[in-house]
Amino acid sequence: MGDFIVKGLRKTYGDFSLEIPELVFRRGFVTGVVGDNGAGKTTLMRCMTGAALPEEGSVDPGSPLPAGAVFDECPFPQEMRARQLSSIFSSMFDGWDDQRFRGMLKSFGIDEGKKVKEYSRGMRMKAQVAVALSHPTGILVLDEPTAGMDPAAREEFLDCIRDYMLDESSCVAISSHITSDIEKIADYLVFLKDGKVIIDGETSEILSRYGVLHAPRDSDICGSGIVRRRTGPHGCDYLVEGLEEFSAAHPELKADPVTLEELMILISKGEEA
Amino acid sequence: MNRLLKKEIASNTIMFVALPLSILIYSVIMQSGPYLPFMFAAFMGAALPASSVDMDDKSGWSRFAVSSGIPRKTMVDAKFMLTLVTMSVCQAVAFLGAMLIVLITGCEFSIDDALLTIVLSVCLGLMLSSAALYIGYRFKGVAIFVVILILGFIVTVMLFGMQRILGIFSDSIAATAAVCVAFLAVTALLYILTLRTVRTRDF
Amino acid sequence: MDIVVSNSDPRPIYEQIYSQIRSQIINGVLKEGELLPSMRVLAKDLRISVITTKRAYNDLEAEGLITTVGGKGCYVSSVEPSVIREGHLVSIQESIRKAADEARENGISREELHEIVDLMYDGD
Repeated sequence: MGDFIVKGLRKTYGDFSLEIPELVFRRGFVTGVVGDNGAGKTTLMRCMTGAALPEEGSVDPGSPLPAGAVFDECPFPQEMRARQLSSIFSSMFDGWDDQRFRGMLKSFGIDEGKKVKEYSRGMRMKAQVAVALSHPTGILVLDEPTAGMDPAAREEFLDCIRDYMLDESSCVAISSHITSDIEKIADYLVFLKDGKVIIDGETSEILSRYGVLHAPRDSDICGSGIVRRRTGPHGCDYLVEGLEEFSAAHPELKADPVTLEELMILISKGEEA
Repeated sequence: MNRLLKKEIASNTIMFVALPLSILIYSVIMQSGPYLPFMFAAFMGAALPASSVDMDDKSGWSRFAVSSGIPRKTMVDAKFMLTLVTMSVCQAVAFLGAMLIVLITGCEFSIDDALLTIVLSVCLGLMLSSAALYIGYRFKGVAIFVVILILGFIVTVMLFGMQRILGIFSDSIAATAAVCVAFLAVTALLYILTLRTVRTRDF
Repeated sequence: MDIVVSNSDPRPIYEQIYSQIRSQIINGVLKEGELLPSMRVLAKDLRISVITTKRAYNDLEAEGLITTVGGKGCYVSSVEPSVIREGHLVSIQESIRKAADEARENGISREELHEIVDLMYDGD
């Protein structure tokens, strides 16, 4: 079993083009995919699972097992209850673990007697996760899986992922706008903007590489290391690349380590400096 | 066994009740003779595959199935199997409907004519269902197709009347055979086209 | 195994883990031959990245404090008495540095400090 590798990928929809020369999702780790709406996260994930067919490029899943996919709508037949779902999935998937499925539904608080159409938003996402985790998969591809979940449910979900990762052959690709979740769970980060990968690496390394400098509105700070600038109503934020060197060179400017949210905002909304 | 067949049957059970019911009710109301139910069943039966492809697309089920490693051909085959099951159920119900009409109106019932009608209906139904599947996967807005189907049926029957249509075919076995073979050939072609569409489209 | 990591601690998380396990081994809290939780289990329990626990374990192994037996896990290695002694000396030096600083800053003489040390060593 090897890494999940995307190579030479190109997928075009009208004006938008997703172009990725090479991207690796390391087996044994969680890779977070972040970016604005329209950056190409969902397109990438659909290409990864085979739902969308790219014009060019290849996807090497590194495993003979199928993917476990969670997308934003709940695709299960609306009139079904847990027992019928079990029946369908045991027919669909090799190695379907029904006990595990029922157990997960129970621990998620999903009533077996409820029809899918009666599930709350959070239950719909959790049900999808339960399905993905109840049969052998080569990769979990999760597109905004925690959208609409309350904090407790999100933490429960993250614990599920941590549990899944106890097996070193597990591989997870997760996209989310909830940057705190990504910070908590992703070992590696991929930043997409306008269909291209602009940052790709270890989460902790990226978050310590970049810093943010808050300054007055009319300031005009330049220097090596300043890569982005964003002017707001109350001040100006600068994104610094190479925080350590910058702080050493400019001890009078107080640059703080960046949070994932700040990094995202400065990259997508900030101008190049 | 096809991996998706269970899902197809299970998620369409309501239709398996609604369709037969509508066939029975229509047959009794129209009272256009005991052979009409079979024709009607052919058209109505095609509505099920049409709506199921549409629903799968809208709910994201197709995307889920493909993403989960189900081969695209398996998806298409499951729909065609659903079509066969639907056709069988509808024609069986049509037979019941025909018997009901004979009971109610005491009209004539010729086994030969019934067989002819069934054979024609099944072939026609298979072709219409395949067309529904192909259109459903290739284009959006299958609902339009269903409306056209139903309208087409009403128009055909009104223009020709069942007895006259039957008359044309019962006179010539060759004509019947030719038409049925044509229907089945188009069905086969539509299967291939549907496969090609599903294999090359995004979900 | 009791490990506590904190974001408010200026040191990187892997360093916090490394030093806590290290002192537990040197102080004998973790005994020789004891099986440590796998880096994945530790990552899950502490809710941190596997990369972090992996780095901490790698550092511990490089120092010879733990050994990985393939397929079974990480075990606490035998620690040389000199290393343990060294650990204690460092810890004592740190405590005395604090006492010395306090004495100097508050006008307490070197001789008074020595007296206190002797008193403490003899035990109350």
